[in-house]
Amino acid sequence: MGKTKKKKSIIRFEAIIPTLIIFLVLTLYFIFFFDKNMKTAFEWSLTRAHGAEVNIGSFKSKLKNLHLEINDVQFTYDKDPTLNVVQFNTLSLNLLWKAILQAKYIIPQADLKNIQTMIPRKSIGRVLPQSERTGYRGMSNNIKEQIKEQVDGNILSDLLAISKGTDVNDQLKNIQYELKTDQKVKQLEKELKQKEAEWKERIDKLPKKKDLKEYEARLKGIKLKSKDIKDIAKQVAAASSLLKDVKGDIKNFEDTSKNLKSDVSNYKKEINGIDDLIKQDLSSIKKKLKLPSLDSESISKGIFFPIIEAKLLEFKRYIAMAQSYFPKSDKKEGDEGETISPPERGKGKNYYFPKKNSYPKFWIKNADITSTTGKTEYSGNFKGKITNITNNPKHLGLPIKAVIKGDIPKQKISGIDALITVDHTGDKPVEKMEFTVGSYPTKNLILSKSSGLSIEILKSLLSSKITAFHSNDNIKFNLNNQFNQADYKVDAKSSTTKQLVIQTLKEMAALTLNGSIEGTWKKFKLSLNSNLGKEIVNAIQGKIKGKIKEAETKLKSKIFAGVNKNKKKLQDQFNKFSVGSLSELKSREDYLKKIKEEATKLKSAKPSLKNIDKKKLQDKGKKLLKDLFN
Amino acid sequence: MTIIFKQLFQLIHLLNSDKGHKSIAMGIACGFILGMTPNLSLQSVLIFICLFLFRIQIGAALLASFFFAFIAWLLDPVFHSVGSHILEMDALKGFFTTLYNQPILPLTRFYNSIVMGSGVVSFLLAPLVYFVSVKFVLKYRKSVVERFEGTKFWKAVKVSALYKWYTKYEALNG
Repeated sequence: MGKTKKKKSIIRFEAIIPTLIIFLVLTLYFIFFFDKNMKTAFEWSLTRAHGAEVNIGSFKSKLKNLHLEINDVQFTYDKDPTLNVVQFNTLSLNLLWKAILQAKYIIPQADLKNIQTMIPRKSIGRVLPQSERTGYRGMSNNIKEQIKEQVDGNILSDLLAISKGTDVNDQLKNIQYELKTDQKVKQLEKELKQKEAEWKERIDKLPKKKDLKEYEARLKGIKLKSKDIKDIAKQVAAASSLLKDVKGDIKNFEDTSKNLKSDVSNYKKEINGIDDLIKQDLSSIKKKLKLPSLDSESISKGIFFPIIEAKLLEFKRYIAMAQSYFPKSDKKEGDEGETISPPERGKGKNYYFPKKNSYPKFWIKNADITSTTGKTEYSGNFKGKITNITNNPKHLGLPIKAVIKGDIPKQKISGIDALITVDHTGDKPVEKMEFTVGSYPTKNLILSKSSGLSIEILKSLLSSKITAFHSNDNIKFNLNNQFNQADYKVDAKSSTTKQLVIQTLKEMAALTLNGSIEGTWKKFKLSLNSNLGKEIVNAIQGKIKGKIKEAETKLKSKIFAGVNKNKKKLQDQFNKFSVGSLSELKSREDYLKKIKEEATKLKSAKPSLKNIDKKKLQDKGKKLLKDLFN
Repeated sequence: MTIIFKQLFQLIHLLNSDKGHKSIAMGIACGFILGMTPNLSLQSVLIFICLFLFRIQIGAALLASFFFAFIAWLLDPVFHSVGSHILEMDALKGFFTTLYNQPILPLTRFYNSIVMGSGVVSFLLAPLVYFVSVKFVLKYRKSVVERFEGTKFWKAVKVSALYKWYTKYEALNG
């Protein structure tokens, strides 16, 4: 007898043991391996994002209260891998269970302890090549070109060269220059010839004097004093036809005059633009001749532009780096892009219901930063907080704010005060920064390094304030520096320059350097002023002012005499053409208008019935009636 | 992958045997719900858990899901209008608002007109699909399997040594 099979239950009991095994394995994984794997994953991804090796001492997680603790985090400095650019002892945070169940990561409180900077590493950190980095991958910029355009790096040497006496005529022989003005005048001459020919052709197509005389003859031929009513009607018709022809021609004249006037006006503007070109050419030749301006700003720019350039490059680098990590999406939480991906099949319509206390996808409400002076040289007393770090600032409606205050006593750095605001809550993203250092010892700081002059601060106490504003592509950047108790090292090609700068620096209690940048990254205006510039101007003004003016006058007479002559010739030629053509057109048009006036009068005049042969008219009437009744 | 293939072979085996028609029909009903639901959502996960825990033919569910997904694509306008109608009902607004603010539940994407429409339609029609499937399986067995078993070819196979070995193996394996 065959064994009867037991009927299987509706529940798959045989699946329960494998399920329990899977849960057990997962639990064991979380207990023994999860933290280690997370540590490795964080190190790997942070290294790629930062661009240099990131080390994490330990990663601890507690699932029960969703507590995370990351210890001993070190970010290698990519420019000097023997240092850590940032290092902190502990980052501890708690996530909200309530939010996790909505697939959101909310951190009400995070604590960052013992943050330090520029700490020597135990071993040299690995720096990744650009191709392996994620997020920020460097920036393209034209900052150097922009500054080069606005700054004469050799201004001081040039000023002193002028003070010794410079012959402009000799220098002009040695430089290659091409005047934009000259090219423009030639181009305008060519255009004027073309226009003249074009207009001559157009004017020739219009009725000439001979045609106008014909109109006059037609006008004279119209006589309304005839005795025959048929003849009168014929004359009125002739007047109408004449009027129509004349009106058409007047319209042609008016259109042509209008077009010619518009051309003349445009051309006038082009000729007037030559003066601006002369100014541009003058400034360009002055640059080539090294004929500098004697103002403190130009001198300050010429001396100190390297330091501003470096700071600006650094600022742009940080902005570009930060931007690569800022949320890109403009979506509000209502759009729910992150949770509702449209079904591939059909999009359907998403209905939104009122949300009570809804969270963005990621939000660190508050992160406290504390640090106290430790054994290392670079540790300091810091206190600060970062608030509202989120992936969706528009939804949260609060900007990210970071406030850090403190000092590093072992490095004699005091009065550090930084306020950073990243406001992406509106349609226009805004990033602002205010950074102040009360006192900061500087060593071997190169302020200026051009071919003619270099100024280096061997040691000084710097107090500095930087404010920066960035919105879309617009920037405002202010830098106020004061170097106190400074020792300088000055080098210059010319001993006069060297002596002048040394003497001026010696007489100054403190060196100030204030700069600002305003505009867009593509086109900005650089302002830079220093008391050194002012002092130098005062020192050399007497010697040099007259000589610069003299050189400028020579330059103008030498180069622009020819240009001015050509410009005058062009102006005369243009006037002759425009005045001649317009007056010719006007005289013909006026003539036609007179004919039109006369023809209008004739057309509207009532013919006199006195002259009509009444008897002839009566006979004609009788004959018509007779024919009708016979 | 092995499990899926095993289930598919088991489906062919069951379909051609004289038992398990309810298990196949339940699989088809579950596959109907899976196929109608756009993308993977929380309700799909629940169906998968049911497939795993209860004795439902997984192969039938997967095949049915694949088949119904094609029909669902054509029915999207219907699902959209049904879903919109339900989601716009004033009487249910409070209920939906509560659901919307609950943890986990928004993961079902109930607030999407197509998800809501397809969900409601598929859950309502699932019992009907089940009964139709039962009838279909029984009918198939009678009209196709029985006729096939009557053919000379099958009779020849049945007397072959290979088939005898196979039936013995089946009996031993249960």
